[in-house]
Amino acid sequence: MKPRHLWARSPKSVLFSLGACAALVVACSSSEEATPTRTLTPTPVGADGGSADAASEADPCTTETGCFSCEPVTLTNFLNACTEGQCAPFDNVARLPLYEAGKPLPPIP
Amino acid sequence: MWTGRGLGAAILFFAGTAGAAPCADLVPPPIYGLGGSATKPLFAKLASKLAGATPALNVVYQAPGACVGVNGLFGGTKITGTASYWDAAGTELQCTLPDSGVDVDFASSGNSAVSCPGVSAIPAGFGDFLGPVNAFTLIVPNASSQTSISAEAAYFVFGFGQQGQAAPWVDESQIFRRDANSAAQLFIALNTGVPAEKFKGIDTKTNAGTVTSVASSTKPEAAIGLVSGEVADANRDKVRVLAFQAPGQRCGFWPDSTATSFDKKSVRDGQYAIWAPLHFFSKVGADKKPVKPEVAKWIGYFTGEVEAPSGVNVLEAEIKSGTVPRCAMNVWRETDIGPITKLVPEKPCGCYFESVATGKTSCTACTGNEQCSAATPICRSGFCEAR
Repeated sequence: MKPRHLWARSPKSVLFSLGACAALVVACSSSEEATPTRTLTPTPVGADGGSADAASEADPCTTETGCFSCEPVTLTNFLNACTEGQCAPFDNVARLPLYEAGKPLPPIP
Repeated sequence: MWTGRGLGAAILFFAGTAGAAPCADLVPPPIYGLGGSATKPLFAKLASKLAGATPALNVVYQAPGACVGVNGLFGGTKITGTASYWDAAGTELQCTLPDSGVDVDFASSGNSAVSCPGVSAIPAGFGDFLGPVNAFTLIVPNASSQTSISAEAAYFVFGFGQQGQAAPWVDESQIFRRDANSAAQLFIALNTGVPAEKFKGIDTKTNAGTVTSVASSTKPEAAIGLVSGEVADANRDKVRVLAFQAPGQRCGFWPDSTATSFDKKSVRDGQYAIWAPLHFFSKVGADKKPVKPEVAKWIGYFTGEVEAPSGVNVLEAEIKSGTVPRCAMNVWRETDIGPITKLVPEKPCGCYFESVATGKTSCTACTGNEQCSAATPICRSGFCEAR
């Protein structure tokens, strides 16, 4: 079996959404957000694409809370679609010492 | 002679002993399946109903792993030892296979055949049939404080173990995995990039083994495992599903709309990333249908091509086991973790799904179309649907 990273499928859209969303205190529907395991530390602007405002200006389909509000087409659109469902963000930057935003993950030993 | 309907109690007496009754003595003669343990909750619900139906159907199933089933069927492996079947009361029983072995009539898997080691294509003469959707999940003990995990975190946990430093999951004696023949492990591999044969941790052998290991951990904050969503749902009193945040996803989602609900909303709508339809494989004839009539019935119940006997509600069995019938899905995918597309089922059953899975629905109950409004004009499975 050859594992395939999701991010290898549509890198532009993935990076865009990653950048837009990582800069936010990520939310689904803010009123129904589940308590996160740990408070999200916003990724420094520029590392992955910009702030929420910048994302909204650049992409009218991305809301202030970071969800995709238009008709989803790509996998990333569906994964980030606005929903009433609750979610719990996992902050890779804050919680994974070996993770570096914007860089490939280290190879499996 | 034993029957799944009438002599289950007698066979129960022998279950788990060397004196378990021969599977071949079941009446009517059973069909034999091989595959993953993920589907056992579903099989338990449906096979038990069919054992008591008219006409009856007995299903004998051995669950060494999804890809063991796929390779066993394609390779003509005969199964030996003991296997499970279900009586009409829903009890899982054991029967004995002959030392000479029996042919596998069908294989079942949570993943597609080509995701299995050693399979590059489905061989000629075999068919692949899709059943209801199943999610795959990462679980922690109920005593854990963790609520979510990202694909990147799972990469470090299962790919690096202690060296991954993905706290609190850094104790390799508390990381519970399967092997590369497990659908659950294959899907976590596909979604994280960790090769399925390189997972760190302890092999629990089955979905049930993972639940037991995770639930009984003496270090609950450090414990984590991977199981089929069906199995996770059936053991919510022992384990909790983590929300999963796929690469490029803004947040982690549970298969359901909340951590404690059963509505599979995030699977049905495409926000939960790790799901796929169950696959059934069997020998097929020139018409591309299963050769054995009883196998064609069994698989046909899942695909919807065969009407179930009176008193057997396939949709209800699927929903109550934690799977999602295609007719209740709003999205679909053709390959394991492949692209997602919007799905508009020809004969939707979303209302019925909600009703059975959660015990409530906002849909209008009905017994005929005349009770439905223009917006949802068709009465299906007791509720007004749009089509």
